[in-house]
Amino acid sequence: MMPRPDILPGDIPVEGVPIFSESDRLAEYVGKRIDVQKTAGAEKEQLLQRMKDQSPELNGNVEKALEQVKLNNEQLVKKESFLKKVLKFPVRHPYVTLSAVGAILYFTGAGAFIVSGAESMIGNIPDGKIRTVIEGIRKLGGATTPGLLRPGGGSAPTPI
Amino acid sequence: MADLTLYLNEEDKQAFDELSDDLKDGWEVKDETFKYLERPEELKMRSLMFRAEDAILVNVLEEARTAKSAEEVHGVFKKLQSLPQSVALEAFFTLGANGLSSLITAILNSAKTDDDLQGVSELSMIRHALLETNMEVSSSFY
Repeated sequence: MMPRPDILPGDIPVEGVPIFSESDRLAEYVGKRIDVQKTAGAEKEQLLQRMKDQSPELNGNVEKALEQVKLNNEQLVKKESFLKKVLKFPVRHPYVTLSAVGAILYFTGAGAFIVSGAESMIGNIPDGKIRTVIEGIRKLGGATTPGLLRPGGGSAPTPI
Repeated sequence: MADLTLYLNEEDKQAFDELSDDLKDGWEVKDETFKYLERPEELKMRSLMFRAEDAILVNVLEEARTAKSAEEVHGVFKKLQSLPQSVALEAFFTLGANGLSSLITAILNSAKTDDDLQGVSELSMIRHALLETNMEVSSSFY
């Protein structure tokens, strides 16, 4: 059994190390035959050196960077597994699309009006389904998940 | 024919029970038994992994940042109605199971028709798959 990645939300992103949206790109970064999650001993040292070579701007953050890469890898595996399950689902209801839009507005921070918009403004939206979705997203607030609702959209690095 | 199954957690079931008997009739409720919510660092990572590549999405997100009226907010949602399914599903992965639960509960609280419950059914299937994935992958890693 391996320990979970030892990194806090506030530590992410570690300066100098990219965030990967595709497994292939992450594999390229760490080296094709490396199992990031299980790396230990000499293999770990080899990986840390490779990361320093790939990201010279890492300085002393290489251990934290490795934890971020492990977490990134874990989420890529989860994303691929999840999409494999759901892409065959017959989802077509307007609530699915509207909820997805609400979700994107929330986690990109582009929908600051969801948490800060006046009740009267939300109440005047003519489509009841949109009002319901906003209400659902609004209940999440911005505090339970550090970093999710980035004020003003934030300046997060572009994933590769 | 539409799937008439709802995967509901305890909070959802309370909201479902409040609905009229007529509306509840015909729907099969299954217990949402998976409990594997994402850790805060997982959600942070997912939010940074999300890539808004679609040109329409990028433009509308810019409009959303300055939306100040009900009409502008309505316009943002309407312009994104044709969001590709793959992007919508990735959005749910990024939002996480807790966020999906909040949406499901809100829809159940305002549900008036079978069509509303069809929306709940589809979202609950997506949440079920997400919770199942969280459990399977975490168990294989740690």
